[in-house]
Amino acid sequence: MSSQSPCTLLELAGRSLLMDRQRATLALQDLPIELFPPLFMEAFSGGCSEVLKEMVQAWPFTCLPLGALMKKPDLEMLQVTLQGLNMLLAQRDRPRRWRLQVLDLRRVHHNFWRMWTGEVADACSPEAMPRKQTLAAPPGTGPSLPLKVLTDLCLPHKPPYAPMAFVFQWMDGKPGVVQLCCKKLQISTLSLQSMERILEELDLDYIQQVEMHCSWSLSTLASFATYLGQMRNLRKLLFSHVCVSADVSQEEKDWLMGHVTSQFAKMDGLRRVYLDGAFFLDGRLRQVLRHLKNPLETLSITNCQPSDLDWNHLSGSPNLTQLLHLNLCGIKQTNLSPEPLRILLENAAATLRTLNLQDCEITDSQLHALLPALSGCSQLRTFSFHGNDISLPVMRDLLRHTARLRQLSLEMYPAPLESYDAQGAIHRERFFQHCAELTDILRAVREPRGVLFHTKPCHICGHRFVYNLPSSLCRCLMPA
Amino acid sequence: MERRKTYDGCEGPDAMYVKLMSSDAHEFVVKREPALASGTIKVMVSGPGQFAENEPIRSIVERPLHILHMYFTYKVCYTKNSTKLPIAPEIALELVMAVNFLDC
Repeated sequence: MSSQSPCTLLELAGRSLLMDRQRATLALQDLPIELFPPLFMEAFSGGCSEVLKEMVQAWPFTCLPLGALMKKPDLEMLQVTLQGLNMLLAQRDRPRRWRLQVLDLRRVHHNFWRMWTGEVADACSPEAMPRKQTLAAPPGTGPSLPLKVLTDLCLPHKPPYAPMAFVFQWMDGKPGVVQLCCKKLQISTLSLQSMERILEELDLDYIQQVEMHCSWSLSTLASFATYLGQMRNLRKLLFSHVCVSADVSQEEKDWLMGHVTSQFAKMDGLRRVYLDGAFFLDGRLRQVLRHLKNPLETLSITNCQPSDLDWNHLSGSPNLTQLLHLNLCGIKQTNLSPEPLRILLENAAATLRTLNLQDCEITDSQLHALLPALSGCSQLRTFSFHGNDISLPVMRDLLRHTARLRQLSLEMYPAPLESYDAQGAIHRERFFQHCAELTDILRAVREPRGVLFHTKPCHICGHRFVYNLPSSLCRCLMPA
Repeated sequence: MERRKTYDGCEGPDAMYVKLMSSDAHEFVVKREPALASGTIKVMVSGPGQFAENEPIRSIVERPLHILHMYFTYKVCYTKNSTKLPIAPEIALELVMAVNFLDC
C-alpha cells in the first residue's frame, strides 16, 4: 500500500479483524482461502504474533512463500512463524485442514502475494467470484511429513542469511519431521566439521547449484567431493579461486584428486561447469571431462592456465559437443596450439551460442587457424573477442568470415594493432577510421545489431575506450 | 444485495447516483463515481444487460453495506486529510467476507 493512496477496504477490515485475537482465530475456520494471503500479510507486517501462529497452522496452500514477505530479515516474525509450525507439528492428530508442505524462505514467488492482494484479474463478474470455500479435507488425506523448508544457503552464515541460524536451531531435534532443502549452495571458507554438520541436514537430491569460494586442504576438498557425488540433480558447479594446500605426498595427492574427479561420474544432472582460478584441477581437467555422464551446456575456464594435456583434451571430449556457452576469457593462447580450440569449435558449431575469447592474447596466425571453424558457428548470439592482438587485414578477414553468423546480437572486437602509435597509445583518428571501415565490411555481409570495438586498457587509468560509446573515453585520451 | 432501477436519479448509465440495497431491505444511495471503487459494483452498473433487473447477487446485510457506504466517502476525503475509517472488530469478519465479494 502506498503512503499516497488510501488503504483498500479489505486492508482496513483485515486490520480491524486482527485487533481482536480471539475473533480472528475463530474467523480462520470459515475464512475463504483467497482471504488468507492478504490477512497473513497484514498479520505479518503488523506483528500480530498470536494470530499469525494460528494462520500458519490453518494455512490452506501447500506452500507458504515466507521469504517473499521478508524484504529484510525479520527475525522476530520468522520466529513466530516457526513457533506456529511447532504447534502444528506437535499435534498428535493431524488437523483436517493441514495443507502446508513447504515453507519457502527464498525471495521468490512475489507474484503469489501480489496475485491475492493486488489487482485480481477478472474478479468482477459474479461467475468468476470464488464461492466460499470449505477447508475440510477428507479423513486420511493431507500432506505427509517431513515438512520441507526451502532456502538458498550461503555458508558460513552472514547477512542477509543470518535468519538461517534460527532455522537451524529450530530444526534441531526434529529429524524426519522437517527437511531442509536447498537449491543453491554457496560455500566460502568453512571448517570441515561445520560443513559436514550442515550437509548432513540437507536433502542432497534437491541441490541444483553449488558455488565454492574457499581455501581448503586437499583432504577437506576430497571429503566435500563425496557429498558432491551424492547430489544427483546438481546442474551447476562453480569453483572460484579454490586454493588447495597439498602438503601431502604425491601418491596421496594422486589418490585424493582421483577421488575428487571420480565424483563427477555420479553427477547425473551436471550441465554447467565453471572453473575460475581452479588451480587444483591443473592437469586433471581431462579426467573430469572423461568422467562426465552427459554433455555440458556451459564450460567456463578462467583465471588459470590449463596444461597442454588438458588443453589438447578439449578437442577430443564427447561431452563438449553440445556446448551452448564457452568462456575462455583470459586463457593465454600464446604457448597453446590453436588446433584443440579449432576442433572444439567445429564440434560445437551447431549449438554454440556464447563464445568468450576476450584477453586471450590470440595472434593473427592463431586466428587464421580458427576462422573456418568460427564461421560455422551459426547459432552464435554473443561473441567477445576484444583484448587480442589482431592486425587490420586479419580483422577484415575475420569479419568477412562472420557472414553466416546472423544470430549475433552482441559482438566485441579489438581495435586493430594499426590503431596504436609507436608508444602503444591509441591513436583516436586512426581508431575511428579503422572501426568505420570494419563496420562497413560487416554491413556488406550481414546486418549487425550490436558491434563494439574496444581498445586495450589505458595504461594510465586502465579503462578501455569503446568505439561508438563516447562516454567510455577516459580523460587521459582527451585533448589537452 | 440487489440492484433495482428506480425513477429518482439512480436510473440509467448516466445516473449520478447508485442505489444499493441490502438483503435485509436497507437502502443506501451513494454517488456513482466513488462507488466504482468496488469492482463488482463497477461491473454491475457499467455493462448493459449484464445483470437482469432485481437479480439477487449475494446476501449482504445492512451493517457491512453501511461500512461500504462510509468507505466510499472515506476514499474521497482521504486525499484532503488522512482520515481514519473506524471499523469495529465485531463487524470486521462480516465486512471482510462482503468486501471479498465486492472487490474493494
